[in-house]
Amino acid sequence: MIHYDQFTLKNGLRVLLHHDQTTPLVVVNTIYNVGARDESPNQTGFAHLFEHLMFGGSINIENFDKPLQLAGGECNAFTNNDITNYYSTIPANNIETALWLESDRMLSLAFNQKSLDVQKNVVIEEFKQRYLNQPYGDLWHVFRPLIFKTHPYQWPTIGKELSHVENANIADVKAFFKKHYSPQNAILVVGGNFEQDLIKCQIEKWYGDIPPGKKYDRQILPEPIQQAERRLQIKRDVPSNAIYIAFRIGNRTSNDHYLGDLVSDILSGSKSSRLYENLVKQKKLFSQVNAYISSGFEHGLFIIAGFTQNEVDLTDAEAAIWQELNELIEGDLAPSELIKVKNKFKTAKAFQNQSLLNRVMNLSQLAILDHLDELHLENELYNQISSTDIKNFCKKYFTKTNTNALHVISSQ
Amino acid sequence: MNRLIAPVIQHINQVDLIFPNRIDLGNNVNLFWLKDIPDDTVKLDFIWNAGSIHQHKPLVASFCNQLLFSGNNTTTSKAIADNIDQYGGYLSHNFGKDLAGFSVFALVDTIGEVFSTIASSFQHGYFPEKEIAKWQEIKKKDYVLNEEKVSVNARKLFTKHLFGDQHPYGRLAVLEDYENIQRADIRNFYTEHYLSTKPSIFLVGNVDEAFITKLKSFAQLFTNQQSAVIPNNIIQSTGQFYKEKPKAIQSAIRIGRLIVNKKHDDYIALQVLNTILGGYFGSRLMANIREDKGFTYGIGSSIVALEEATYFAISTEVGIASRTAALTEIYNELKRLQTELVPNEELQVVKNYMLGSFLRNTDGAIAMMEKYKAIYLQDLNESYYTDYINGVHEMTAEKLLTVAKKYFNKNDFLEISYG
Repeated sequence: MIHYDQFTLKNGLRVLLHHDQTTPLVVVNTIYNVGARDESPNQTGFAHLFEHLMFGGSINIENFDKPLQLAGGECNAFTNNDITNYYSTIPANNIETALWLESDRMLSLAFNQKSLDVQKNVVIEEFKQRYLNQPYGDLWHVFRPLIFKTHPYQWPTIGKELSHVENANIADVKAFFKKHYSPQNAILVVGGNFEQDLIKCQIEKWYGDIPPGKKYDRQILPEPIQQAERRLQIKRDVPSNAIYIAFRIGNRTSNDHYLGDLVSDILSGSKSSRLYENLVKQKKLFSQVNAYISSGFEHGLFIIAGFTQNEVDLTDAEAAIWQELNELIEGDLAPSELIKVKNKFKTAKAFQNQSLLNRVMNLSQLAILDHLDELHLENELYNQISSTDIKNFCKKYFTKTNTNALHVISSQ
Repeated sequence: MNRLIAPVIQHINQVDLIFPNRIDLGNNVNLFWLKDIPDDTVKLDFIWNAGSIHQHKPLVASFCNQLLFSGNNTTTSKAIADNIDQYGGYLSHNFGKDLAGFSVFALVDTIGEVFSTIASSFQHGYFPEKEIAKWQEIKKKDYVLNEEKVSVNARKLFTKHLFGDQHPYGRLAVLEDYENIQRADIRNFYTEHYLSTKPSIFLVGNVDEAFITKLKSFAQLFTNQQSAVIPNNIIQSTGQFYKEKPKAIQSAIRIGRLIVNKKHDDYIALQVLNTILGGYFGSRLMANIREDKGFTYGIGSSIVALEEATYFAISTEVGIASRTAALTEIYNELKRLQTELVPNEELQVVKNYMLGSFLRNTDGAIAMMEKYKAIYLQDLNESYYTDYINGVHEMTAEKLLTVAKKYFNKNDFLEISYG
């Protein structure tokens, strides 16, 4: 179990501490309550571009990385549809360097025009490298708008199009910082071998005087319940056909998250799982097929994605997927199959928790979701899932009306 | 508190390394065991000299490795996977140019059951035709998909010209090779390179003596034939190789050369130079080509140590229009290392970053075991890491300049661009 203490500074910054004396390191993790969902539809990709700018110098410190590296530390960050997360790992006795750097960029950025110009180019190259110059790289650009008609999950974190990144200007950057980057909208998690008597004073010292800012009031309407099946077929210059099916399920904090996770493990992820055995090995319809969940804070998805063998008709291939889904609804789930996926979860979790960084990030995510109870309940939440729960989940979500299907046809 | 003044920095002078105990399992098989860990996880690695360098026909070594647990005429691969999964076990196949094997992940109360399945199915050595055919199909698909990627193509061309096609490192599989794999090839490889050589076994986890007894009995399987020594005939090409890919919007670039191995006096200097040039986020290549020019999402350099060769390589993907300018800048940065002393401040940043990195890479028992494995498998001294830490501390700008002059001449490099 992961233990932690928490307190809140006067300016509203929430702080969690996770002490671990077995490591020579500390991790300083800051999670900001802003992601691609908070962007305007005409300025997508901004939260992620902004993440890049956070490394371009802050109000009192010209360069973020150099002092950190001088102290033996390393930093990185990621943005998703829901949040933006920054983490530094540093030798424990140099913790103040990380607090100094992180707190200064929470106080204010330098808002440097050159940094904006360069990072726009960097992000455009990232867009090309990961989404345009890769086979199947742009699929989610077309699939998301099929699934989400009104909700901002309809665009990916990198942005809808290159022009949105190109058009960003320094005034937008300042406004974004003011709206989203302040103690009121962040959670600081420090983990590792810090000095227990000193840590609160150190945090108070570096963060205490940062103005609180204004709590961001998110007003995003939920995506309406899907009323009819949605389908889309696209042609791409790719070596084989592919099928993607997405079913809307509940969000990260709903029970659907755990149920969906186990169902996806029954279907895929091991050589003993159903889709691999039946569709890849026995029927030879797919060369590869996977099931997984996306755990959006607002809406979740259950996704099945597969590359078909040449000559296979996509209608037949999709029918075979449906046969597997119907088997989950109508057939019997052997007790051993359920025990199997629960045991695999337990092992995977134990290995993930070995990493200090994983533990700290997990704490940050759960804290921002107000879902810290999960830390103690997680194994139990999975353990109490019954085969009836699994069946009900499948019956509820694997329906025609809840289907979003994308067929990718190879033009080669 | 003054935010303009950086907090005082403590330097890293030593790192506490914990090496595993060596246990004799009998039959000349060694177990390396780190027992005292703070949780219930168990990781168990088996490593043989069974990488691609040992194969006489493309793909045989990797197919053999991937199909080690594919069953026989009475036990299906699914039944094997089911038995492992039932106890929450994970099995991963590890495969490289020199070494190959597998890793088992489980919890302390289930490792015995998981390992029993693995140990008995490892002994099948049967390799059913059906499983081979399935794997051929899957790998052919992967191959075709990878052919679309500029980065993969650049890497392949680089490998081919770096080692030459006279050496197994430089021989690349082509699509037809997937058709030509025969069951007999795989079975022979299994007999020669798994059953007839001794594995090294690495264990991290708080298992009981009964489990060690199981390992002892597994260790008796192996006979003692030495695998053939492979002659060293690596011939590196130099110069530029450019292959155009119509419709590509980025070019993948690889620039590199063979260098001396870990036991050579210049090696630590090369590691420091590599870090300065492209080994961390603040490196010169990142600062110039990403952070100043915005040509790329990322650029880096690395040193790769194989048994028969060690090489240094720079790699990036840049917009098509920036390719020439990026190449010029890369060579400018190499030249700068040969002509200017690295400023003190930068050298200090790099030293501290490298030592901090070392600390991160030794955090936890599994990480510590990885460090030990590296020195054991590459036949390095147990003092290798202390020497490394001291070597980094004592590095001087003058030494770096001398070493850069020796190894960073443009004419000695191989340059690949694809896209």
